[in-house]
Amino acid sequence: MQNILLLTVLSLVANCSVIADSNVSCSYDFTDQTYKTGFIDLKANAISAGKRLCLEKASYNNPDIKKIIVSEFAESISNEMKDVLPPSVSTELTTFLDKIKQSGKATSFEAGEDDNEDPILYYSSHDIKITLPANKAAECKVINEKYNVDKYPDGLAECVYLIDNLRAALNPFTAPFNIKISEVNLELLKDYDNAWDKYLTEARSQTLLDMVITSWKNGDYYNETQLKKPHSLQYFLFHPSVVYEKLPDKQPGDKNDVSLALELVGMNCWDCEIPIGASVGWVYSDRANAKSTAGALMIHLYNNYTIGYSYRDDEDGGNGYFISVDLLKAFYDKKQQLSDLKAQIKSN
Amino acid sequence: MPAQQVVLLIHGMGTHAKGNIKKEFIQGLKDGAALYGIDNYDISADSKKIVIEEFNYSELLDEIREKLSEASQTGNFEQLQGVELGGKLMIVDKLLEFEGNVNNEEFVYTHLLDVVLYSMTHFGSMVRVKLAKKIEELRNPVGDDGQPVHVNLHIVCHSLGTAVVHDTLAQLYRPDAVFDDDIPDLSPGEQNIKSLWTVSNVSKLIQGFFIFVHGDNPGLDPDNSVVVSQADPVGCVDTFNIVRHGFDPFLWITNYDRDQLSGKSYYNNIIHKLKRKDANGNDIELVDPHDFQEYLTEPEVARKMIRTFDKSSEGQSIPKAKIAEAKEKFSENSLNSEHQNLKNKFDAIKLQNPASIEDFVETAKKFRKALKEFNDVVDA
Repeated sequence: MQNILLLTVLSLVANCSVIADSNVSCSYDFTDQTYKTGFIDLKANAISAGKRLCLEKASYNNPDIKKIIVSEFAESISNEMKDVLPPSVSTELTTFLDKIKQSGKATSFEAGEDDNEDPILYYSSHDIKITLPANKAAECKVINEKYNVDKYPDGLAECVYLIDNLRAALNPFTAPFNIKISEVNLELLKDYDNAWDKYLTEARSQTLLDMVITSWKNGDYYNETQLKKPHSLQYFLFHPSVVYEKLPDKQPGDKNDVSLALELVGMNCWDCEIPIGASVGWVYSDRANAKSTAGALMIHLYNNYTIGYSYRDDEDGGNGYFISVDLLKAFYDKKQQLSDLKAQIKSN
Repeated sequence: MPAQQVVLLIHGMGTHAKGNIKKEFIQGLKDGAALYGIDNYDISADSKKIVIEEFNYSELLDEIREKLSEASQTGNFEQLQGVELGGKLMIVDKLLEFEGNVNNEEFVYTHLLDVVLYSMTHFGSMVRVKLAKKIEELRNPVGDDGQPVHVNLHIVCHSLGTAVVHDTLAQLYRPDAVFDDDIPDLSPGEQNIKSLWTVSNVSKLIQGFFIFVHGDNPGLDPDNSVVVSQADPVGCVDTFNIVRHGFDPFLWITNYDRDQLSGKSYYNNIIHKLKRKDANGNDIELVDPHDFQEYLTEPEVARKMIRTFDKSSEGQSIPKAKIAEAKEKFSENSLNSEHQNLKNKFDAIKLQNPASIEDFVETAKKFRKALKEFNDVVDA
């Protein structure tokens, strides 16, 4: 009675639930071949209890609620299980059901084998199990002849066959609950996956060094025990790019030229509303009448375009500005070859 | 009818074409079954009702390698031709040269770069998200008729794949998982992987690289994470099998050997000359103790895998008593007398305490050289 009251109160509290409000069904008939069993009553009990576990909103977020429901199910199948297992394992059965109640887990019943290759029915881990070794074959056969008449074509060992029928009968208890979790998880994972695909196509291009530095700077973020979407910030270290630099105060021939920009350090927010970043570094160029090296400040926009200011300690007007090649292309005829473009700009 | 068995394969380092690991898996078990007198065993045959899937992260890393290579080669750097920029820009030259080569076939670029990309960049997180999505797609299917299918999901992973799997499961399965937030997660002991087979388990080695960049987290340490077969606290794997080879150099540096509640540690040190195909499809012979297919051929491994995945009477029928005879057959044509020479050579290049990535790279190169020299001696 206490449990029912507790369940009711906690259900009322847990009425806002993404998972419980999802459209995924909790009602199945379990007609697939993998659920075929001769233990019809046991299966009906499991289906009914499984629907309740799946529909109970609190069972997804409240371990205590889940434990109550699991415990009640284990209690409800106790007598039926005694009928469908060899009497010689009745003590083991009691331990099995007690451990299920204590586990509080809503997991599947599985058919397996222990390290001695004896067939087992287990729940959650191999610590919660019933073992039916070969010397129980005769007892298993009696039960199979009563309940599981429709044998597989393969003719498996009697106790293996009995355990598999138990698995099929009991698993409807947690299957709907786990299917619902799977569906919601899958939606979240698709969202995470899409975020990474977006990163691959949209984020600012990086060198291997940039990638390692980005991971290092975001180390705490990626180091958690949970899956992660890409971090918003990228970092750059000794990142080279080609730019077109203009020194307005210089003569034609020295005014415009292709140059190498080297970002000493930089940062970029690739998925900000306006993707934006900044770097400091140098610009190097080969001009007859200007110093080759200039300090540089750069702004990066929309992950592709860079504008910057270059400073030369040069009495003849060595300061200028520069833009990245991709931005340059945006201002000129896109059909022009880049080499022609370079020649055109240098002559200006 | 037993639960449907689904086997998810995850490859190791280097470029792997789609479908390759599945072929190696099928052939490895075929060769293993033959040691028991079962000819032409095919685990993928319809009658077995086993679904074999693969997760290919090689293509993801190839995509990143291609971007690196393209950016350096076609990032308009040709515009700098003829431009004198001085010796201080050597670092840029070296960087561009390295990145321009990342798509070539050399071992450093195809294999070791994978390790760097996975463990030392954020793209490891991307790989883990995609693997988690694949796992979730396979775990709880509902058939076309709208009825659930009871599935047992098993994972078989090799080499770098063992780290990918470990790290993914360590981030997907969370003891404090709740199912009403925006974090995709599962509860250990509740929605478990039925069996995990780690073939040449390098998860601890890769963890070292990860820690170097990201810092330490005990929850992601293979010796401490939820990725274990255990009852208290419960792990996320029902049965955990560790498969290793005595001459596999990747296991010399660090070796995963955590205690498991259910599962076994399989060890063998038999070396054969292997018949394989090179990148151009030509037949070659080589010695490679790290080879995935060869790992599966070992009789105890093959038998247990077949028992685990194939629930038909054929799959369940190989008696334990035949293992010794199968091992005898497996030892035939092994390079016995050359073992000691090979072992001495490898002992000389064993790296006990790698101090840096450069040490690891150098050791890997020496190992490949030693293998090639050994092959030349054997062929002579």
